[in-house]
Amino acid sequence: MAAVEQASQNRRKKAGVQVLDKNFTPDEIVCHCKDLSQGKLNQLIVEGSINSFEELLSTTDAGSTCTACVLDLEFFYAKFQQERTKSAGQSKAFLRSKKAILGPRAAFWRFVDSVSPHISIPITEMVPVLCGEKVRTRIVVSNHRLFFQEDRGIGPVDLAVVVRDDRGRVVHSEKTRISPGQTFETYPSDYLDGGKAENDALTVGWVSLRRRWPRQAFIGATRPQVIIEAPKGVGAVHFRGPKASAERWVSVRYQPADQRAFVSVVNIERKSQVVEISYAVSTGAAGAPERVIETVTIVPNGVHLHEVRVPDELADSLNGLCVLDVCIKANGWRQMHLFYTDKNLDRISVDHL
Amino acid sequence: MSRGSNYLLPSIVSVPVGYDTIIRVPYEQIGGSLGKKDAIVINRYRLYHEGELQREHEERLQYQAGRLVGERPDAFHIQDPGASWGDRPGFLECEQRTEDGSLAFVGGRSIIVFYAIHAKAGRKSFISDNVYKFANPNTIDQIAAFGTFAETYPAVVIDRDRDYSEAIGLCNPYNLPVLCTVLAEGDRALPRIKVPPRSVRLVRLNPILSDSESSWRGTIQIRATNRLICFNIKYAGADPSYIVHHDHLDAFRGEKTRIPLTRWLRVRFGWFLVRHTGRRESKSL
Repeated sequence: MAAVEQASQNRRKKAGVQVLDKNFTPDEIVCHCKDLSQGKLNQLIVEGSINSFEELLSTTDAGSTCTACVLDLEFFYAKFQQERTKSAGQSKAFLRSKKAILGPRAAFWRFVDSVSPHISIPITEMVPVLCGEKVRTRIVVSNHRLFFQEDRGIGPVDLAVVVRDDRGRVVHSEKTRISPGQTFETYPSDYLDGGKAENDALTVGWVSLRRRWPRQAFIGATRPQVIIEAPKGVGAVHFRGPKASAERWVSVRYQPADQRAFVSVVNIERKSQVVEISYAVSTGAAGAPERVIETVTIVPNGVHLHEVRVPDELADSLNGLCVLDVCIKANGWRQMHLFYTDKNLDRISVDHL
Repeated sequence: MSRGSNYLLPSIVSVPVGYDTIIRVPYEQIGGSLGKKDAIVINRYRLYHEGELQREHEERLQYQAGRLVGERPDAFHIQDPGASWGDRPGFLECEQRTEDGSLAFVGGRSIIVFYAIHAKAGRKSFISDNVYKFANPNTIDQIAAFGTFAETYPAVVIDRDRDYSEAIGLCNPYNLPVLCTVLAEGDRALPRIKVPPRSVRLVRLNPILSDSESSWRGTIQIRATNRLICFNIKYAGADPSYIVHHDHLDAFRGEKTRIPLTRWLRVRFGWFLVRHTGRRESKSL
């Protein structure tokens, strides 16, 4: 049996057909709506007529009707392309531009872009910074190559770090260059005045970080992360750009016996922003629910930290645990995060909104 | 003008063991994706564990002029699966499509963003955001170009003295197994992890420390034979069931860092229009 299989593989190799593993069953249909089989999909890739996944979808129209096959299309497309790359001994330094059929306007701009000089695009993102007696915030930017493929195009990246307090004042700034294989770390919380604590135990500020590459390279793994360290547990989230939606809703678990919840709003504008944070507190009694509303003016480049809290007179009537729908309204570009801590601020988690 | 769609891009949400998972789908976002149209939308949840469908639930939502008619459904609640799941998480698929197949959703590949709350009495909660079930086409092309799937995470913090421990959740949404390896700085590795179809594997990272090390922090990378949806889970070392934080990883980005000046000018002009007309939401490049 093994000899028969080997002979079959040899014949297929001679015919120029890719030799794939045991999961390859050429007659098995991947997309029933368009009658697209594994074999046909593999043939399209071997012939080189498909250069991207989007082109596969647009050429075959597979995955456009019931979408049940999309995951299978992804799986087999990636697999067959990998096999083609390996068997052809090819290695692409960068993702190739997709050879799509362009309309006249797109074709015009493609020509213009092809003769234009290139410039480095900075990416600026930000996160809030928490500090207190037990809490420190660290940021990390890593510039590693892929550990298993040393020859990928990683280059140096220039960083500009600016730390501001809640009043928008710059308390620290620095510039540095991270070479390939290196990591940059710093504690922006060390520059905040922990004595002026809001909410009795936490001081808030924010840090912006701009990345710029002096020469052509991959963006790679350089997305900055913020790590908030508490005595017994750590939260971390990636940096992100601001949003400008007029209204943002988030459901927050209200469980005062075990935790505290905070929402931070960073105003990245050069003008003040009026922010309203509100949530309905339903007591189960007849009538409209009570609302907790905080309206605050955040100074230019300032940040505000709001603790999600139900007033004592309403909290007693809440039955057990509940979820509050928190609405954040503002009139400009800003960034928002949600923090959960345990009651003693010994553990913390964070996520962007 | 792009044609409409009869579905929103489906999402996957992690379902960890030891916590209730509560999801409130943003019904307003679904309505916003309809423009000002009328439509009946089916919101479907499917809970998977170890390749098996555990639970399925549908909501029928009526929208008029893009607004939900009638009462909002209650939050979808998954009780802590407890010991029946062992230490292997599951995942929830969440999808929305029109009941009659009409192309009511505007724009083509429309998406909604929401968070799952994971809660347990006696512990603090944490949230996780939804991840798209279908890959970004760039991700698929990158797997093809690199010959492997690659994700990275630079914020691993393991400290035995401070009770910081970490794990990576590997979710395979496909119908075939995926093999992967976790690599860490300093030539450390956790090799040949097999993630069965429609399953999640929890890979604890503490074994990358040697016996003599009490702490380690640095970057890990995940390489795999195909795409995996990866999560970072920070938990208490003394009680591994206590999850402190949960987040998704970031792909190794193969995009170039320099673009044509003419393209940059067009992007900046677009941002100028957004800031002064408020048409789009996100400012990031």
